[in-house]
Amino acid sequence: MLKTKVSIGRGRISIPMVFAIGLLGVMMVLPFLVQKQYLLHVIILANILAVFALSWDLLAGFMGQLNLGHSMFFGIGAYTIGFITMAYRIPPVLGLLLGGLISVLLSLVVGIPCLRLRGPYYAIATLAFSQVLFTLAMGLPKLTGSEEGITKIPKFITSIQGNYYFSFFLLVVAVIALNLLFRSKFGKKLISLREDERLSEAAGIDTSTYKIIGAAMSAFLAGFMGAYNCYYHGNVTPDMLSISLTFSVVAVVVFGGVGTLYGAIPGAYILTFLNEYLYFIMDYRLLIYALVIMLILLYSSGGLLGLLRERLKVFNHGNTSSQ
Amino acid sequence: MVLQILISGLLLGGIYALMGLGLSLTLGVMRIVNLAHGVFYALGSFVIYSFVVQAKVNSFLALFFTFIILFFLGIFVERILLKPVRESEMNVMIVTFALAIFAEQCIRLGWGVMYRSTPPFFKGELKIGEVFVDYQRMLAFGMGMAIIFGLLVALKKTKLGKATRLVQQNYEMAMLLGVNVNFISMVVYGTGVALAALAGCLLAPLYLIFPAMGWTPLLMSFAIVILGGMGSILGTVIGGFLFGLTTLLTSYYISSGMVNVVPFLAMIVTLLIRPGGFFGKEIF
Repeated sequence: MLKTKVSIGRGRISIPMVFAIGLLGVMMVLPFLVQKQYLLHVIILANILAVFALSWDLLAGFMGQLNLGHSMFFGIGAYTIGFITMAYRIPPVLGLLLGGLISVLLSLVVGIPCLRLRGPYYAIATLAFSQVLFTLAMGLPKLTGSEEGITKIPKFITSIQGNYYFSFFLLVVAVIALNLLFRSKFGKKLISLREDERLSEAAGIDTSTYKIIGAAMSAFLAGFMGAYNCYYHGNVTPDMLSISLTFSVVAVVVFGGVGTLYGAIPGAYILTFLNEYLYFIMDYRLLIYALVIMLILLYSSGGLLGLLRERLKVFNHGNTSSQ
Repeated sequence: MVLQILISGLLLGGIYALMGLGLSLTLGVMRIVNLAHGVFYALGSFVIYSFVVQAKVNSFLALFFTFIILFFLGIFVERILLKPVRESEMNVMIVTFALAIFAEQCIRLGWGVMYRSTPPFFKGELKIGEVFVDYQRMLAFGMGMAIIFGLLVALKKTKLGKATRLVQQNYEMAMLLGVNVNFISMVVYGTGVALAALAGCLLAPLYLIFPAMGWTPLLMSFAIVILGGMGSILGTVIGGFLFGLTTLLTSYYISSGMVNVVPFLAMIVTLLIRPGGFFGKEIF
């Protein structure tokens, strides 16, 4: 599954790209067509989840480093905003960047000891650390407000339409940035880590440093989105640090297709819409995700996008082997 | 008081060692990073709860039944889920992670989210001077130690155990020599799962049981395995005792909520100082 070639456009406009731009155009005029605020809200949630999932895919799908505590980067970005806005009024853009930077610091704390090694250490350490942070968030009520979290955080975009466009802006910027990254020499080196770590080390790539930098980039994106999520909702809760959030992201990416870059987006949309519109599956949500993940990994390794690639061949521009 | 904590900690350590051993076995022999190890611990607690509290079965009989049920569940899981994805370490981790969530949700739906407890196998406690030790802890420790010892003997002396050690040392060679690697893989995973469940059974009367109870023991087991060095039984047992002690010390002197911090710190420190673990590469 993880050998899936990265088929990021080869500088020419392909059918899927036209389709994507068209879809984006429709999304841009959507607020003028529908009056339902709730639909816009759900789309915002989906966009946030999509960018967050992209950051997980950057690490797992492209670099082959599994992170099982990814929610901590999201959560720490959110809590950063929560703590700062309690004491100071800072410009929101600074807040978003700060959320990302604190998240990068956190990723260095976990990444430097664990990413130097090959093996399952990073996955286990991230899972353990996210549990530590979750415990702290629950166990220090004076500081973090325990289960209630920190509330009444001033929103920086008050209108839902504003947030709608801003979330799309972030999604598009993230997709373009990751696209550029993986076309660059630096990004190619990151991908080589997934393909064969020993070989890339033998080829003179300083694998540990690259892994640590890649993890930091992923953490920045996650922390940034966490901060934005915090601004959007106006509160932070320990849920943003929980295993279930990490698991949702894993589900989004596995469902969309690991290492496909775009797969996370339909994955995030489908999961968010299921969540928000099918109330009766609420209790079975994680159960269903888990089942779907297991089935996908057992039977169709490429996820949704992998399936599309096989069936339509249109995503296959230039790549002879999609698997 | 300190003596009390030390003794309780050591007794608890025996159970941690049992859990760590289960993880170490699947990790060392089959190279399977079993993130569902914790949920099998939880499942063990819940199954014995059903036997003892709901079906009113004798505790020891219930322990035996739970062991058998979970052993076969482990075999089933290995066949259905793990065998097809074993080639890729990342897929194994994602699958076992999903399995952990899946089983936790099943527990939540089947037994509910309430906190429960089971009656102890033996009531009462032993008083030595100032120190109270309840029989349940001693029993759990004794059984844990007996099982670890039995497992070691089985690995050293029986034909299956020797084959298992060969698989651990050299997978290809084992296949060349006609060892049924698939069968060993199945049995080893089943045993690992059953050991986790056994730890869950033995600790069920001492702690509250709830669906998400498995995560802390899971991380604890990984910390034990990392600290002790993968594949080292001595390291696993010593690691188990060490964590038993630190768990009780942390929960007494700091807060029981901070117990999660212990495995994480231990992991990070070990990986920084001695990534291979502190107790060398003694092979089973």
